[in-house]
Formats: sequence, C-alpha cells, structure tokens
Amino acid sequence: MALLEVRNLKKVYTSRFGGNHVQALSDVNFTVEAGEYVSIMGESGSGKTTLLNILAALDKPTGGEVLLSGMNLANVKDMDIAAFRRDNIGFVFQDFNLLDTFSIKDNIFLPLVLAGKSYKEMEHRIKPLAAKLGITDILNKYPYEVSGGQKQRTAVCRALITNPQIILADEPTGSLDSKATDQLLNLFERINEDGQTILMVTHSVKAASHAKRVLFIKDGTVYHQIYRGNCSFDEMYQKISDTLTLLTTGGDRNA
Amino acid sequence: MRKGLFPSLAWQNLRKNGKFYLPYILTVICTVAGFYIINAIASDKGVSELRGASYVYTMMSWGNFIISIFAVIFLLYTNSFLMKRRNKELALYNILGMEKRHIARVLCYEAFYVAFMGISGGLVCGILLHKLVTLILFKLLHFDVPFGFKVSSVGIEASLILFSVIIGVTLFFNLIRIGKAKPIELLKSTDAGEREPKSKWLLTLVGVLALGAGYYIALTTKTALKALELYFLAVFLVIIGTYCLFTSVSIVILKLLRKNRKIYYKTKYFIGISGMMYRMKQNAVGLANICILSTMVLVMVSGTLSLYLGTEETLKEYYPGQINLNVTINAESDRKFNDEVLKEKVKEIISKNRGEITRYQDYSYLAFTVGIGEGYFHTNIERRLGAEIMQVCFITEEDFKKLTGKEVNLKDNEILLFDTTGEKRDKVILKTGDYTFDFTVAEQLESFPSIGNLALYMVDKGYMVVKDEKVLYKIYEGQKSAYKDIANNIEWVAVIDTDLMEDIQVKCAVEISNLSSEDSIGEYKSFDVGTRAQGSVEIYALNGGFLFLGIFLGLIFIMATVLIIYYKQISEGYEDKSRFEIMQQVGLPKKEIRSSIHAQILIVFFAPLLVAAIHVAFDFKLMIKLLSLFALTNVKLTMLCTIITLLGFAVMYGFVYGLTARTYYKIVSTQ
Repeated sequence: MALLEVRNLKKVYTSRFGGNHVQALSDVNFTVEAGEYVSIMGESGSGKTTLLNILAALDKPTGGEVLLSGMNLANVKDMDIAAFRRDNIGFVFQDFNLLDTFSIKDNIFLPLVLAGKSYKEMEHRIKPLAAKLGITDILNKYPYEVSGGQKQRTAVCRALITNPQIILADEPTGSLDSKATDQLLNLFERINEDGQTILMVTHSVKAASHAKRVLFIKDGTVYHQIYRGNCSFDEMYQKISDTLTLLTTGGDRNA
Repeated sequence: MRKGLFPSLAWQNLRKNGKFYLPYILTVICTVAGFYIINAIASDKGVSELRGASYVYTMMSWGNFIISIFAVIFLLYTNSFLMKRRNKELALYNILGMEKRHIARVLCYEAFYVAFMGISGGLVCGILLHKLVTLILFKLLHFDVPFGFKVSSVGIEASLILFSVIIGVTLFFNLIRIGKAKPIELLKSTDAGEREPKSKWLLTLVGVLALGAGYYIALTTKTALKALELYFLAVFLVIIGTYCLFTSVSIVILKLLRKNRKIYYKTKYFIGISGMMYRMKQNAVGLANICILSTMVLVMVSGTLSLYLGTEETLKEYYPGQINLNVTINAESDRKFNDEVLKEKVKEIISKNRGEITRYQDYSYLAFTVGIGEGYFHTNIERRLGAEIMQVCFITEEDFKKLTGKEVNLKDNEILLFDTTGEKRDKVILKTGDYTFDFTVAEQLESFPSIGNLALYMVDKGYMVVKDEKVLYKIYEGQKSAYKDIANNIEWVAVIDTDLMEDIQVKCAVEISNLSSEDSIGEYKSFDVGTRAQGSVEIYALNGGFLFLGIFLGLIFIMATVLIIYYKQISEGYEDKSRFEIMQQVGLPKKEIRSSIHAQILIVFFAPLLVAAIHVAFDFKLMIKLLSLFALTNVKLTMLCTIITLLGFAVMYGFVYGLTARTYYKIVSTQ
C-alpha cells in the first residue's frame, strides 16, 4: 500500500459572497510510496501550494480524498488535526518559519513540547539529529544570529524530530544561496537514503533534479511525470528542463 | 499633482488606519471635553458668587493644570506610537514617487482632520456634558443647582488654543521624522532581530533600592506633617523603582523560569514565557506606565472618596456643636472673662427663639506649637517646613471631666497624655523660655475629645490633662516668656446643641455674637461664634471639590490606561499573528492557541494591577496620615473606600482586558 494516496483531488476557491469561483485543483491523482523522494513542479498559480496545504491538512479539499497510510485525512476530527499533523507530517518552508522568540534548540523542540514530551526525551532525540545536520554548535543561538542555510537546517531538524511519516517541503531552497542550496539538497538526499519519505514542491529545476521522481502540475492536474531511474543529476536536470519547455510552449496546444 | 489628491489621500489614510486613529481621535475628544468642562466651571460667574467658590476655583485650576500637562505628554506619546506603525506606508509613498514635501502635505492634512474632528467633537461633547457635570459637582458640593444652559467662551478659546498647539507640535515632530528618514530603512520590517534582553543587575539594584526606600518612607513616617513633606519624594522613588523593576526584574524572573525545564517545556508556558521575554524590553515601559497610572487613579479616587464620605465626621471635628463659641481669654487683664454670665445670656437667647439647649459644654484650653527635642519639647523652633514640631494642648482635669465624664486626681506634676503620633512617653519635659516643666505621665490615653478648632491645624498633636488652672496659667506664662508677642492665649470654648432648625441656629448665633459688646461678660481678646450649618457649606465645597477632581482626573487617567492597553494589544496582535501561524503549521491546536494567549496576556495584564495594588497597600499608612491633616481619622472608612476603589478598578480593568483580549485573538486567528 502506498504511503500517500491522492485521488481525484479538487479545490475550488469561492469568493466571500459566492460570486467568483477559482479552480485551483481540478483533478489531481498520484501516489507516493514509503521511502520515495518526490518533487512537484509547476508554474506560479498552478496549484502547488494549494496541494501542499491540503496534504498537510491545513486546508480542506472541495472534492476527492487524501489517504496517509490508508487513513483518510477528511476523517480526522478537527480537534485532533493539529496532533495528527504534529505526529505524521514534518514541514520545511521557503522562509524557514522559525520563531525568533525561541533559540534554535527551542525551535526544534517546539513540536515535541506541543506533544507533551519530557525534556529528557527531547534531549535524547535532538543530539544525533543535530549532529547529522551539523547544527550542534548553534543550538543555543537565536534565529537572527545564524545564516539562512543554518536556519533551513534547523527547520529540517524541527521537521524530522517527530519522526514523521512524510516530510513536506515548500520551496525549501527558495531563500537560499547556491552553496546553501547544494548543502540542503545533499541533506535531503541523505535523509531520504535513511528511509525518510520526502515530498517537495519547487520551482527550481536544480532542486527537482535531486528527487527520484518529478511530477508536473499544470492547470490543476498532474500533467506529466519523470522517473529518475539511473539518470545522473545532469541528465535529470536536462529532462526536467525539456519537460518544462514543452509544458510552456507545446503544452498549450493540448490544453 | 492633482489638486484634491492630498486631502483625499489624507482622509483615506485616516480611514484605513482607523483601528489606530479612531482611539486616538477619541482620546483627543475626551481630553478636549474634560479640559473644556474644567475651564467652563472655573470661569462660570454663577459659581464664583457661591459660598465656598474659592475652593472650587482652586480645585479647577489644579485640574486644569494637570489635564494640560497630561494632554501634552499623552498625545505626544500616542502620536509617536502611531507614526511608528506607519513607517512602511509612508516609505512606500516615497518609493512610489511622492516627494517628501508631498508626504509632509498629506501629514498636514491628516493633522488638520484629526485636530478638526478631535477639537470640535470634544467641544460639542464638552458643551453637552458641561451641564451634567455641573449638576454632579453641585450635588457633591451640596450647592443649589442653577438653572439654564451655558456655553463658556473662555473654555472654547482655551481648548482651541491648547489642543491646536499640541497637535501642531506633534505634526512638527512627525515632519522632522519624515525629513530625516530614509525610505529603505523605513520599509524594512521593524521586528527583525531584537536581541534577547540581558539581565540588568544594576538596574535591578537601583529599582529595589528606590522602591525599598519609597516603601520605607511610607511605613516609617510617623507624623502627618512629615508625611506631607515626604509624600512626593516617596511617590518619586516608587515611580523610579517601578520603571526599573518592570524593565529588569521581569527579565530576571522570566530567565529563571526558563531555566526551570520542568516548567518551561510545557506547552502553555513555553510559548508564553519566550513571547514575554522577547517582548519584555518594549513591554516593560508600557507596563510600568499602566502600573503607575493605575496607582494614581487608585490613590486619588480612594483618598478623595474617603475624604468626602468622612465629611460629616470632619465636620463634627471642626464644629463639635451646632453652635460653637470661642473666646480668647486675656490672661493679663484684671477684669476676668465671666463665662457664667455668658452662659445665662446664651440660654436666654435660645429660649427666646423657642428652643431648648440639649447640650452645653464649656472648657478652657491652651495650645501652642513646640519643637521636638531629644526627650523633651522646647520652644526654640526653626521656622521652616520640615522642622520637627508638634502642637501641645493643655486642659484641666475639671474640664476633662466635663468632656468625658472621667474622674481623675492628678498631682501638680502629673499629666494624662494623648499623643497622635502614638509614641509612648513616661515623662513630658517642656522647656519654654525661662521655665522648665517636668511632668510625669500618669496615664497614656487612647483617644481624646476634640478640643476647639485644633483639628484645623495640620500637625501632630499632644493632648495633656493637667491638675488645675494654676498649672495651666503657669504653662501659659512659660510660653509667653518664650514666644512673647506671638504667644498663644488660653481659649474658652462652649459647645452648644439645641433642638432648633438650622436656620434658627444661625439666627441664634448672630444674636449670640452681639453679646460680645456686653460689658458684663468681662474683658477678652476675641469673641467668635460659628455654626455647623454654615461650616458644612465650606467643608462640602472643599471635600466635594476634591472628590470631583479625584474622579474626573481618575477617569482621564483610566482612559489613558485603556488606550495604552488597547494599543499594546493590537500592535502585539499583528506581531504575533505570524508566530501563531507558524505554530499552527508545526502542530499547535487552535484550542491551545487560545489558552496560551490567555496565559500570556493574563500575566502581562495583571502584573501592573497587582503591583499597583501593592503600591496602594504600602501607601495606605501614608494616606491615613495625610487624611488626618484634613481632620479625617476614620481608618476603617478609608480602608473600606480603598478596597471598594480597588475592586471597582479591578472589575473595570478586567472588562478592558476581556475586550482587548478578544480583539487580540481576532487579529491573531484571522487567516
């Protein structure tokens, strides 16, 4: 059974008085197996972020369903949704979303504190993870005292510390310079090799080329997908570029 | 540029920033209205013709002064807050191509609109409320309420000038600010990278010392006069201490809390403690402001309220009888003052007016001021404020029996003592001029009947009962030898109650004062008759004026407190919005958001109230002393008034808290 199943997902935004309807997702179908590393690409306004918000149970679909480990997100009660998100999903955002009121360490602890874990256990979990992500030295600093790359690694650490079933990443390299981008992508690869499922939404061809599979979204549906198979990064990069070119030029004819 | 652009842009700015500007304009309206009303009352000719009007006038000028000062400080403060919030907006105008002088013009229009709405609105409210406030004031003063509806041109003029100038000054500051600012700096978000506050031990120390000293003064000041002298020093110290402690101790406490892992890593406190710590630097001053304003309101209202409610008691202190005679005896004269003759004549007058005397009490006393030396009293007083002085008063044991019914048998060198400072003494040594008296205290009394108009003297008193007139006259001689021309005389007092109506009492008093020219009563230095009925008018004018002022200024200060709280809440709401969004994404349930917000706001909100209550508790003793200067010694009443004021204020504070907390929650939780 697939870890994540998305079936006939549809999302229509309605303006406040019901006047205008905007279809963000029309019919999205795909599955993600455990241990996969999937990238979703698409232009601005193609519905990427809407999709991610629905996957994260931050937003509700108009139609269709999302199954995580066979459990339908629509069946999770409103009261339990936060706990569900906390236990099953790790988040990495473009602008890090770290809280400047907390130290790096406390930022990472946040989901565990919300889950009511003991300090001992939190300490126990953070040590190996921080070492792996190379942020042990900055744990006691504050977000405004560290670099963008360090911030993003902190965010990754925060996402991983709950041992989530899946990591959802929204443009994780969007605010990073090229060196920090490389570091982060390598990191994602490493944690994926350790068995962590990752679903990443991105604009960046380079970021997408690190994934094992790339989905292309256009006009609210999955339009195309590429498997890496045994391709190198460069070959993958080329394939993605070609697909994108096709999507923007040739694709129109079929749409 | 298009001609009507600037005015309409300015108007739109005000509307778009309504959440911030509406309270500001309301504040201007309220302050203008208050200022107008005070001025209108002070300049009302109808008031100045009333008895006791001079008190009203004095009170109103104080009120006037305080409101003006307050208006200047508070409106400048609020304005700077408003402008800080608008940095981004103004920078955007600049970047979109408006020159600074264009922005300046927009700001001028804005200031004009604010001034126009605030001042005209305030004047309209003021004129409408003037009548109501006058009614309330006159009710408090026990004045007859006048008819008619008046508009005070003096009030309008004064309000127009003062508030135009204040808003002009704020505009001036804003223009300077715009002139100096660089758009890119303004555009950058203001909340990025505030350092974690360091624990400031020096500030903590200063705060503890200042507050400790203030409290120490409040607790240890023994005499009422000292209390008056040191009151403002104590207030000053406490204010300093409050500012220091809010800025430093709060951070120390929060840091200690954070060190405690068991407490800190609980959802509720985790978010709250870190949030407060992050914000404590900017918070502290605001909280200290709230705390000090609250304390002022509490002290003012509870003090003036107990003074007003105790007026009847004060009145009895000043005028023990319905009719009070006071004759200053000429001790050097051969033709002694004949109190028996006078008594008969008074009886005649009362019965002629078809009344009956229900109480007739007469006694003599000698009172004068002495300096307090090491274990003795002396008459070498330095004539300056703050010298250790008190008033001593002597009566004979015969008169003491008349007043209290208590039989005493004293020896020549024995006395009974009542010391208002509560100090225990075995001996009273009095060195006056060439004389030295050495009295043994036979008994220290717990209370003393009110003697003459001594209650009017705002100093501590020592009441002493001596054996007989011989001793009394001896003391008089001693005092005379020291003070010479300014020596006090022995006073004879008669307290008379009748079963007559108040206006007849006043009529009798007039007739009694005509007796002063009668030869048969002997020689005296002065002859004075007063009625409680007439005295009550003045005392009500005084105490009612105080209460009015206390409540009036209290309301204005409360308005300021509410506004500070409101601004604090909404500006923090906008800051916290993004934070709570992040936390929701990380897995914070909505329910927890609410409870964590409440835990945080609750502490932040009620800390100033708690500290204010502590201030008031320490101030209580000092306030009792001060009130005793107004002849109010009813501690229970003052206690009750203080508690009621505190509770009332707490309820109102809680209400404001609830309202703003809701606004805050709305801001935070909207997507």
